[in-house]
Amino acid sequence: MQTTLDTSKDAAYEGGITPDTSTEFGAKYLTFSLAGEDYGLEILKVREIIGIMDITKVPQTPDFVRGVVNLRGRVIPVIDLRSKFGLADAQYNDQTCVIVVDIGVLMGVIVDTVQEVHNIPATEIEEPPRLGASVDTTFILGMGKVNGRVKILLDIDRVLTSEELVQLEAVADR
Amino acid sequence: MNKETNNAFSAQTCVEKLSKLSNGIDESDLPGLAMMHEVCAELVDAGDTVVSTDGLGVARDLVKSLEALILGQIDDAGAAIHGLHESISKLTSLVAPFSSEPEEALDQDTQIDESVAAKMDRIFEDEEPQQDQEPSQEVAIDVPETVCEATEDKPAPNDPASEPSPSQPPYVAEPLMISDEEVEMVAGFVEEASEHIDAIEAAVLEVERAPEDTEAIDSLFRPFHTIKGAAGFLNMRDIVSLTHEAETLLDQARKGSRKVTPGLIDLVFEVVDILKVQFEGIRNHLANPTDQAVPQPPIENMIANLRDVVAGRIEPIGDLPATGDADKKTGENLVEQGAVPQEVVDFAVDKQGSEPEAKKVGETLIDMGVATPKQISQAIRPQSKSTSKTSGKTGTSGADQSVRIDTAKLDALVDMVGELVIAQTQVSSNPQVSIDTKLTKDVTQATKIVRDVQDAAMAMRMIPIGPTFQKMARLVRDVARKVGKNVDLTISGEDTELDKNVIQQIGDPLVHMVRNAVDHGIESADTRRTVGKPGSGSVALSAYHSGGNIVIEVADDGKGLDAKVLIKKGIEKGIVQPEEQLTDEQAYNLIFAPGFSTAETVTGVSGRGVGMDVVRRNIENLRGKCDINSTLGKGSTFSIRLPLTLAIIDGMVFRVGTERFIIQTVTVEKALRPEPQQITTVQHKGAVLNVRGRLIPLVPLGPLFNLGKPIEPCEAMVVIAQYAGGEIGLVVDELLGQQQVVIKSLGERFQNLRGISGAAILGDGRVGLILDVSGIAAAYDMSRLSTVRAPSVNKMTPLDRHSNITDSHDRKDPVVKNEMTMSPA
Repeated sequence: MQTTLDTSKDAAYEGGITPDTSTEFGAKYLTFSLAGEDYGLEILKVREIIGIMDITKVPQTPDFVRGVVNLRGRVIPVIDLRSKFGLADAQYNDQTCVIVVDIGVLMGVIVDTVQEVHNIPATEIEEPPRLGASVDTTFILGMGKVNGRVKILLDIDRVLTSEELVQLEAVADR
Repeated sequence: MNKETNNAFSAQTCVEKLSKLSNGIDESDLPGLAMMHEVCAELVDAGDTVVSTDGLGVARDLVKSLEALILGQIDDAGAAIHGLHESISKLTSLVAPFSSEPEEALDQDTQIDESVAAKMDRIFEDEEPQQDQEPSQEVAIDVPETVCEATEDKPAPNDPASEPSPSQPPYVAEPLMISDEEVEMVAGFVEEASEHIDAIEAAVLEVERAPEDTEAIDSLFRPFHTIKGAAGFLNMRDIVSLTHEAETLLDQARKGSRKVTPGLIDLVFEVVDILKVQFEGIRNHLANPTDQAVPQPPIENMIANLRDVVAGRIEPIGDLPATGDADKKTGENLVEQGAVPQEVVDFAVDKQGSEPEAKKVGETLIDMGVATPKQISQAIRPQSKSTSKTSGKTGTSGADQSVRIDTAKLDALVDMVGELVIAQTQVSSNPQVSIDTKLTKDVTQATKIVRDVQDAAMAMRMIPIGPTFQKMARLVRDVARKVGKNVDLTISGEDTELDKNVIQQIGDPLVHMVRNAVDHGIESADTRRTVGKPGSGSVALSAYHSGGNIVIEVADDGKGLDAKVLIKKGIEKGIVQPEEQLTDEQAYNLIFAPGFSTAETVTGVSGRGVGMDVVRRNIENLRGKCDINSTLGKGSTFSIRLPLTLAIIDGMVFRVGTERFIIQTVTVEKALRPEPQQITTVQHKGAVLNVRGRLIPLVPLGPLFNLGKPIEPCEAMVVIAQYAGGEIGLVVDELLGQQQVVIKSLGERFQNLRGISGAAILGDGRVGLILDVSGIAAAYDMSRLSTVRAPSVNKMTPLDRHSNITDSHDRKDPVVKNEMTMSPA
């Protein structure tokens, strides 16, 4: 049930260059896709990558909280990043992954596909652009350029702690 | 002369100890070095009445070099150790002749001493460059002065016969600073010390019971000594001085030169109380470190008092320094003594009321820093007799057979074992297994081992309840004294083991119940005699296994609970309606209501009505139950029924929609498929189930948790679950069975969930949520908790909303969540 996808192994061992720590955000990033967009999150935050598994729903939680799963004896919350970013829900398939991140506590993040690990030096990272009021750029560390493509580098701590998981009041206001 | 021989003898023992300790010592053996240091320091403390001036010089140097060794300041440790051995053998030869032929020995001493001093100097050259300028003789010359200072500074010699030196300066406290490097050591010490304090308390009670038993005094001596040693090592001068004085006093008792009187016992308890405050201060400091000195209670008076007692100037009689009155509260006495203004006491009493664990006024005052433990102890000094029988041993034995393990590691082990069991179950249920007989046999064997491993892992968290009971012995004694009653405490089943977490959390409720038993339960001696009971009351604490649970009982042979009086009080307080008919049991349960007190007057001990409701809450937090049995005039028994462990519950698993939930089996009264005539709908919106005349509100779990449409109860199952406020019927799709589950926390991100107390990993590896019945009731029915009364139409209003959402069942429906927001969070 908790099959570790091969992609994770490949991802973890690829690109063995020492991370460029001279600048603020230059580091290794795990990239993944979400509704056709490429995202990245700091590899140091990633604990492991697992395939999608049975998720137990938890009542009184916002939509993006899909529930909890059993990670080898530990019960951890799982959130759907599509739902969190207000993207259309997608059917889970064998490409769907749960990236387990360590932000002080372990949390699972559901993404469409995990791609690879890139070493992105600070020189290749740009400030988050102006995106209008509809996009919350506080979640974005910067825009990383890799082989001519642009990856949106996420501040995963902010993404996961910006909202309470148990939302009694906020739901009512919708 | 007689005195001299005595002293020489003790010096000899010191030196003997030293040489024993120095056997095979090396620089890495810090405890050994610390002990040597202590012995040497004792020798130096004893001063030149014990050894010759030169011997003292050697001893002082020894102390210095030991210090340097312990602190790791010496580069060439080997040489230093060698130097130590040499010094000790010199000391041996110095001390031995001193007792027999002191005059002759002296010459010889000087020579030896010089060589030793030179040796020492060489060792010290490395780390103290200034010192090597001094000629070696000067060390020897310097010694007498320094020693004099040291003796003045330090407490009087142990010999009770020695004249109290009137010139002995009063003790001056020193601010205690804890440096960053020491923090870890200090933390360890404080933790350890509280165990020693428990041991001391148990031993003191033992000594009080059998004053002639020198073995008991010995066992009292040991923890004091250990605290002193470690505190000395960490430079906690206040604690060292205090324990030293107490030790001196106890030494007199041990040697038989002082009788063990109640006054002496009280004095030792006072010392223990001050120590507790000292450790509390250090603990607080460690929790919130500042650059300031650690706040420590003033101990000058206590030291002076102890010294006076040791010197025989005063008797350790309890009421000597006291001005208290038995019938008055601590606070009042303090005000009378002028120690604390009335307003402060009032504030402390308020504060006390608001704190869940209901400290004594005295403790609160000490915490606030407005009164010293000394003043408090004087205020609570009223005389009464109390004896406590504890059948337990003083519990120091077997300590070396245990290992301290971080509970997080244990939890990780338990988690992993849980996973192992699941994995094992999956393997053994694999159809391939049954095909191959050899494989079947092997898997069965592995399953058996896995179960054993699980049991063993679970057992690791279990500790005996004995020490907790021992603490109650002190409490009974104190409370009995305070309220002027005679109370015997009997303890049984102290070997019964409980989960460590349970033990930690059961302490406070137990304190309340024991305090209540002594204060409210037991009558005064006069009243007891008039009703034909023995003058001294008895409180029995016991623990035993019963059907997968642990039962802890607090029984007293006092006046018992009067149901009529309770009901009358209940009506006064508006908790009970006058027309209500309560059974005795229901009446007894009234004492758990907040603000309910049976005491006619509020005393310093109890009766404020804060307590039993907290007790009940604490016990429920431990997933336990509290029952009361009482016979008017004969006494009451409070039984706390607790699960063996907090980690595992017996659960009933059922399905709601696609999800599985677990409910604790003890809370389930019954599960049934109702007949249509048992159900009464209200405005076709809410429903109650009639079970033998009781009307039980039905809670449709699916809609409540947004997991599906409301289902027809008659086609589903109703689980009738009990909670503190009554009972509710949970409408569920299907019952799946009963099993033991390991409770997992959902983590703090989910801590506000209402109605869900945790999660468990079920047999197939998926997560099931554990229900919290009172949480569900609160989520469902926010207006008030239901009582034993039949629910009224009014109460069913929340159901209105549920029936409105009959056909909107997808996750995004906000209506049900809307309802949750109305709860009084």
